[in-house]
Amino acid sequence: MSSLRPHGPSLALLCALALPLTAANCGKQDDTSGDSGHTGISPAEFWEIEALYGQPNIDDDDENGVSDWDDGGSADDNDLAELVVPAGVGELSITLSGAGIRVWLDGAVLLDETTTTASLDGVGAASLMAEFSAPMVAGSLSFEGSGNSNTVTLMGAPLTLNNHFQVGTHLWVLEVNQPGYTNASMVADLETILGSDRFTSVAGNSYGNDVWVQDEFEFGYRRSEGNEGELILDSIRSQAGRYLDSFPEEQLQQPDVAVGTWGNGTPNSLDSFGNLETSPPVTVDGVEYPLGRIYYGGDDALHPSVALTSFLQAQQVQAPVRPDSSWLCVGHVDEFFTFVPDSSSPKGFTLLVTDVDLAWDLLDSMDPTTAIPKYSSAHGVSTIGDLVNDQALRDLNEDIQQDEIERVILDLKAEFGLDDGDITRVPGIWEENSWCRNYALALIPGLVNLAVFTEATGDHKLLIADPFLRDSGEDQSTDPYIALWDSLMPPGTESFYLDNWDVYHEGWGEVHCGTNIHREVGADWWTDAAHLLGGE
Amino acid sequence: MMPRTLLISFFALTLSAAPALASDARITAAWATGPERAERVQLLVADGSLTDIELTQAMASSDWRVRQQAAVVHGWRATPELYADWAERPAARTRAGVLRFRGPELADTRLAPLFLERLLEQPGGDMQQALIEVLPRTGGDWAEAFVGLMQTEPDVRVRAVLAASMSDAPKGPALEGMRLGLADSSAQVRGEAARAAGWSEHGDQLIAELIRALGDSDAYVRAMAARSLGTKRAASAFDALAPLLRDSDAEVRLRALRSMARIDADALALRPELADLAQDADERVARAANSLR
Repeated sequence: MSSLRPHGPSLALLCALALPLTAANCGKQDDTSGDSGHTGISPAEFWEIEALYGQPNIDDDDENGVSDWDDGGSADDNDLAELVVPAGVGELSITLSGAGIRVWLDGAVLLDETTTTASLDGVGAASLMAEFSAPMVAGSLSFEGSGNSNTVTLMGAPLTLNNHFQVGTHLWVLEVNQPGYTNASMVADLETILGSDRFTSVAGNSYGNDVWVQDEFEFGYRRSEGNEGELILDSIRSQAGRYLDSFPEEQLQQPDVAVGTWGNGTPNSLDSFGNLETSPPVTVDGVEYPLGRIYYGGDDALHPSVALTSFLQAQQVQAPVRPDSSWLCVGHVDEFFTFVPDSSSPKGFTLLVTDVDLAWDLLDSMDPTTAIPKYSSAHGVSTIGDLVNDQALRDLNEDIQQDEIERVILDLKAEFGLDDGDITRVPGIWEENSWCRNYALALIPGLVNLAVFTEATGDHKLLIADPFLRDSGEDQSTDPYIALWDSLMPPGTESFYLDNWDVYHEGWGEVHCGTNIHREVGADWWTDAAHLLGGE
Repeated sequence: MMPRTLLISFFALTLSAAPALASDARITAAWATGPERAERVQLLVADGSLTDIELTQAMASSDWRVRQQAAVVHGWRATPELYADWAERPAARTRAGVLRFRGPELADTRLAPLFLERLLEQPGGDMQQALIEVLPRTGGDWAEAFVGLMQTEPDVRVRAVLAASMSDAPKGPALEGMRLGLADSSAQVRGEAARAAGWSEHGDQLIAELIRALGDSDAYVRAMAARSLGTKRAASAFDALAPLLRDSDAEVRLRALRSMARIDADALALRPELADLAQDADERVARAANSLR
């Protein structure tokens, strides 16, 4: 429920003061009258408390459509953070600074924006409960009395987004089944791979057949120690005629699971959350990011809502990075690189990045008369020869690799602290589309645009688009593109190739775009990433 | 049931509705006072007095409008289930929000008249764009119609994608359409036509036009012309590309650089501009120049 940051490395004190109301992982919380106060905290230690963190009370426990904070709060809400004033500290004067914070005592609001000072007699122990209105909302609580003074920093927990290393618990997909527009095969395969208890397909016609569930929201947390409140970041994309806007509220929101939106303005494609991802834990120039770093694509001219990116920057513990994705038609970072676990790597992961030369090497080695019927209606090519003999296509791909991807790779190395050994190049071929500013789209399905479902066992399932670089009627075992991909995937991963052609690939997305995975919690920001607080 | 005389009159009007006569007041009035286009097609489909032989003859007309009318009537008669299915089937939004038709059945020349008819009925908007996008993918008869529409379409964005589609057109319409596009009043259309020339297998017949486009007042047109000349390995364009290495627009400098490298990398390496370009303010230009020195 709460997190306290003491001076120095006093983890014992941290633990003692960090008890949730209903848990007792550091000691029993039932002594409210002893001389030493709660959990053995002495008056002397009370004057050393530096900070109190709590998760923002923005869920809707009573499900009345109004967040608990906006409802006026409640003294028994499990989102409040406790600060114990031990008996014996003497009479105290308390002053609250900062907006968006309430302090409760004995079931009533003691301090808020209008009442900023109060007194305690300090005879018995008191349990002050801090309530926060938003992630990273900050203030302070100043105590004076008995010749002592102390100012305790108050802070709402940051929103943290999940990365591929966090254990997957559930996968969501929209199911559509119309003539020429069905993902029944992919849905069935996902259910087989994950099992029905970890997989939900929602009827697409409930949401205007808007299948891009990755783009609508991002799973995350608003955790503080002892409390694992969730926060689903809801995008603004549906303001542009999309239909999934109510999906998080209708399918996912519940007590302790909050839904919030921070972007504003007219959305562009980069406001979709296929363009909002998180790296695994990385160390960059000696700075550890135990929860990874958030990344979203764009450039100075085209980018996600500044209101959103400013909010993400303000969370501090996953310092965002903006690689250039403006050369892509859809413009999402998931289209050309992703992180996957790699048990053979010292860092535990490898960065997959699209490389056109690998694809051309494979295509050039194939019989040019090889039929690829899937590509006929979608891309106007019927054989491998149609691809390899297209000079304009080769030139386009050379330009994209040299002018865009290689440039981004340099940025990724710098921003994620990577070297060449941390990068696995994977095949891909791009086309351009006059309906999409002539920017790049995956011609061969973008296999890098994959979903990672990490098992509690530590195994990792990679859910990948079937490239269909083979004649109709032939199975995946004959597909040379799959064989090449399999040879490149790191140990500890298992690849599953799903038919996402009609609905996703022809709709300019792939498996990742059409799925969304709920994950267990990651690192504890209040201990593991505390060194990142206060930075830019 | 439409009377035989009216049918004959309809086809006569259709036959005379060649692009050159599109402004003819008599024809315009006749079309304006007739039934809606979709009704007209269904009347002809149901009228047994219009024989399949007559339709087949009309489908071989040199006028795309006549071919279209005959083909869509024939299509409704010959493949009613296919047409009924696709006449109502909606397009789905891509991840970028654009409406697009999907499915392997689209590579079917029989569908071209149906989609073209829907396009001609469309007042504009998202579906109009989806129909223009899908028609080349059918492999059917669409290119001359697009050239015709390029001459009458007022919406610049639509003309631009019509011009872009010329990259997939057969030789005659491709050259006519790209030339039309390169002469368009809109820079967006000129740019798409210049880009299409690079993708078209017939683009090497437009080298002179593309070299002229290097002097266009619009940077996108210059960039696309430069790129297409490189794709075509147009040796005659090498010297004309050189001034673009000092263009004020970074995209133009980059495209000129890449294209000159494709035409003659050795000659490019000797160009004095390379040293400056290696220090270019644009990261992509500087990277490219350094790799080519």
